Amino acid sequence: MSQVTIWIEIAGQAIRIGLASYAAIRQVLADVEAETDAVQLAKLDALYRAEIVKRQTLGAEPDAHE
Amino acid sequence: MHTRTTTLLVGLIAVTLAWSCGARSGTIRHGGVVASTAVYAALAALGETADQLHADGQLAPVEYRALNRELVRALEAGLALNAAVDAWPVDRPAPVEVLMVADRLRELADAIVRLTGGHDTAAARLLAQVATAQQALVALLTGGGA
Repeated sequence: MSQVTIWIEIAGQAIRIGLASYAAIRQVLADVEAETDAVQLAKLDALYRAEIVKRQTLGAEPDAHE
Repeated sequence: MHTRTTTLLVGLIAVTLAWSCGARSGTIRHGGVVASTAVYAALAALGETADQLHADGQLAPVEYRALNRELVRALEAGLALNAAVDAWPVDRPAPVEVLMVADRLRELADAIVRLTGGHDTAAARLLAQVATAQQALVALLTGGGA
């Protein structure tokens, strides 16, 4: 095996490692994002519902809150 | 020969590592979460502004109640958007609920203009919050929400 072939083999390995680490990091980030998104959406659901109830009360109540 | 190949190899490794570190997963669905958060924050702030204006006498009781009812419609559309984002498959186009929220925001803006007649400052303060919510939707639809 010539020197050039060895270096090409090493370069190929480096690219493979780079691609694998890219895919792994991307997957970890996607998992974290999906988890935080789910928590945020659940919080928002509760906030929206609470605000709807509050505004319904203020919109319907005759003049008692004044 | 050796020096040139080594330099090339080091450069190659540096590029792949930099690329790996730059990996990110910002999906359009995440943009939906950001938009839903921004819409809620803007509508809640609008409600607080309306409370304040009412307390200061710049919004009469009848108009204040009517504005709250309009706000409920916008909040319900926001809640529907939030549920749609939750069920949004990754990297699919934006759900139709985005347009529903946009419609409710337009109606809310119309109601603000109608209900605050004569109080330009009050209208401006309330409309600024509507504009903030609309911007969040535009950012989502143009892919800038993530």
